[in-house]
Parts: sequence; C-alpha cells; structure tokens
Amino acid sequence: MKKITIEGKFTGSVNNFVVLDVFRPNSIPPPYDFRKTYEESFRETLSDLEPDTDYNIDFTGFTTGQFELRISGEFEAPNPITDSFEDDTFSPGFIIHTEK
Amino acid sequence: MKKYLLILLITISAFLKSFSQTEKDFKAIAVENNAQKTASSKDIITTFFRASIDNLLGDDHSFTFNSSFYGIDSIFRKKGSTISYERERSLRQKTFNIALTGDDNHSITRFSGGFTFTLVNKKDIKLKKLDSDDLGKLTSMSISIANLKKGLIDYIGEKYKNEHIIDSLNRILNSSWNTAAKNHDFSKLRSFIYDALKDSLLIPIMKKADQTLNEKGIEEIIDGILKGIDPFHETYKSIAQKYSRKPLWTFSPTAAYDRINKQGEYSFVSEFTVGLGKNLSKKPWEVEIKSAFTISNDTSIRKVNYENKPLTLSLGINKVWIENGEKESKMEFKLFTQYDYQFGNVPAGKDSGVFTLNTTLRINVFKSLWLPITVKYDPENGNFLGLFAVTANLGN
Repeated sequence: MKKITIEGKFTGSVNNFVVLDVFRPNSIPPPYDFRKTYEESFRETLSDLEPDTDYNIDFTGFTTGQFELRISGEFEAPNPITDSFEDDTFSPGFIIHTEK
Repeated sequence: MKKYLLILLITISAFLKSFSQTEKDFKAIAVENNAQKTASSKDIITTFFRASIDNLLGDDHSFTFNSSFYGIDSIFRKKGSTISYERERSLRQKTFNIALTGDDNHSITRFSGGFTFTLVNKKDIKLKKLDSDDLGKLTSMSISIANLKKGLIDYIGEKYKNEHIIDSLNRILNSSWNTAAKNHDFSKLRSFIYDALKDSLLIPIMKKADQTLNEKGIEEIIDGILKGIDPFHETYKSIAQKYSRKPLWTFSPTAAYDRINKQGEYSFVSEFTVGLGKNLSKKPWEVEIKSAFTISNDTSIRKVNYENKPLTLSLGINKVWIENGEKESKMEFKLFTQYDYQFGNVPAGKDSGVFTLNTTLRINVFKSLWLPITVKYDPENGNFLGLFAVTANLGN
C-alpha cells in the first residue's frame, strides 16, 4: 500500500471552506472514494492507496484569504504538487500515479 | 518641499513593497472584496499602508503615513505563520498615522501622530464572517461543483469502457477544467466535456453515486457553465460586492506639535460611509458623513493658546464613475456640503459659521496611486479654493 499526505492551509481566519475528494472513476477497479470537508487548515494522510494506480485529488471551495495546498508522498513526479488561491473560489483537480 | 515629499512618498512605497514578507497578502487583499471598495472608503481606513501628500498647491504641504497594526505585524511575522481570528480582527481594526507638515522653506512646521479605531466595519470580508445565508450558498455550491466534477469523470467511465481512453480523458478533463476555473472562463472547455454536460444521462449517473444530490443546484451550475461563465466565482463575486457596500464607521484622535507656536494641537475625527442601492450591476454610490473637532492655536494671539476650535461637519455622496473589467474603481467623483463652525475666537468681520460646497475628483493614475483633487466653493463670499493631493494605498 502507498501513502500520501494532503495539506491545506488557510491563511485567513474566517470564511474558509474546502471539499477534499480522493477517488477513482466508478467504472475502473479498484474503487476508491474519500471525501471530507474542512473549514480550517488540515493535514490528511491516506495510507491505503494501491501501487501503480491513478487517483484523482480534487479541492473545491472558497476563501476570503489564501488557500495553499500541497500533496506529497509515494507517487510519481511531479511530486510534491503545490498550488495556491487567493480571495476567491477554487476547484482544481490533480491526478497522481502511485509508485510501483 | 514638494519635491522632497514626493520623493519620500515614492521611497516609502517602494520600501514597504520590497521589504514586506507578505507580497502575496498585498495581492490577496486586492482581489475581490477590497478591489470593489471605493478609493474614498480606502482613505478612511487602510488595510495595510497608505501614504499621501496633501495640499500640493498650497503653502503648507503635509506628508502622512498610515498603517494598520496588521500591516506592521505582517512585516515582522514569521513567513507562513497564521494568527487567530481574534488577533487578526484586533490588528485590522486599528491603524496609526504619523504626519509631517512643511513649508516652502524646507522646514518642518508641524508633526503629528494619531490612531484610527474602527467602530463598525462590515465591508471587509477578510475580517467579517459572512452571514449564514451567504456562507450556506457558497458551501452548497462547493459541494455541488465537487459532485459535478466527480460525476463528469464517472460519466466518461460509463461512456468509454476502454480504460486507456478513460485515463487520458480524465487527464484532459482535469487540465481543461483547471484552466477554465482559474480564468473564470468556461467557454473554452474541451468539446467532450460540453457533450457530457448536455447529456441527460449525466445527472442520473451522479445520482447513482449520491442519492442526496442537489439536483437543482447542479442543473443551475451546468446552465452557467454551458453559457461559458464560472457560476461559482460569479456567486462569490456578487456576495463580495454586497459586503463592499456595507457600513464603515471610524473614530480618529490625533495629537500634533506646532513647532512655530511651540504648542500642542488636538483633533477628533469621526467618519461614516455606506453604499447605496442593491443593484450590484450598477457602479456604486456611497453616502459619507464626517465630523471633526480641532483644538489649536489662534495665530492672532502671540502666546500659547487654544482659542482656535473649529468644528467641521460634512455630508456627501461619492460615485464611482469609471471601473475596469474587474469592477475596480478607476475614477470617482464626490459632491459634499461642509459646515465649519468656530467655537473659539472669530476674527473681526468674519462669520463664525461658513457653509461650503465641495467636490473631489479622484483619479487612479497608476496601480495604487491616486490623485484626489478637491475644489471648495464658499457661496456666500464667492471664493474658490483648490486642494490637490497624491495618495498611495498599498495592499488595498
């Protein structure tokens, strides 16, 4: 099993929200579906990912400050993945391929 | 003197820009809510720093530097560290100012320092918690957008059974969506995504994965995307605009030292502004009320005294004339009436109360640099007085 860490950091102290989805398309085995919502900074570690497999990681939300995301762990380059959003809505999606 | 003050203004602007560790904060502040605040309201209270030179055409020119305590804290705060809501609120609610006034002989005639306390600030959504309805609307849209993205990927999985195609379409979909969302322009999505959004099978596929799906919310988002707009961003923008028209009320006590007369001066100023109109598509109007009371030297008496005690009351309307595509104000016009009453000594032959009609035209010349030009008209005596200033609002 492979492990990844997903971090989200809100710099503002109010009006923050993000939906974190880690999933695979329903039609392609093995199925995977993780969803959690956050209103403040978070750090999530998932250690049950299959090796050599694609996973979608989506962040959907808004902030009146800044939101910085970072995905790191046992997956192929680009690694780590980082991005940031300021005073706005955001809905970026990333696809990672876990190491063999 | 003017030359030196201008150089000082530019130097301080450059210093704060380059030395602040919060360059991102400057950008963050400027985006939605703050971008839609008027320059007039930014003059009342600054988010980070404000530098200005007043009365450029007169004999006495003054340089004023304002900073919020949040602005100062952000310079020295460890990079990447966060602060609590209570601390951030407390730091943003207070600003301080220092000012130097000089004459054309290059001498400083007066220096002053004071504070501005925020009594009410419902404009700043970095500080003010959104109302539960607005928060609920954005939260619900976040979940619907997240569901829609997952639904599109599941739809592709159902439609294209070949795993190799699904993987590559999944990557193309992500890339196309990310670009559209970042630019808030969904008119250039890849055609297979449009086909999926138009397909009546999409929502049933999504319902298979989530029985509690907000079908109506998803349909509205799809309608928006098919028109090329970013409905999530549009909703956020309209909420931010709504807050930018809410009230702001401040109180500013200031103490000064008059070097010529070698004595202190004290002033107390209160300002209130609120946006008018609920139609957010129209350029904003604002009502502004200001009162100021000063205790200072009566220069006709050749000794230390506090016999100059003017009270100023003003009521005005500020209108944004020109906005750019991002709804940032570029030119504003303020019309206001002012009544000045002298509680101290009144010179012989002068009225203790003077009523004036005034206008201020604010022109944004470059980035955060504004030129406010004020013309005062005294209808009783037929006098005109022009005041010309330069203002730089950084991080606003």
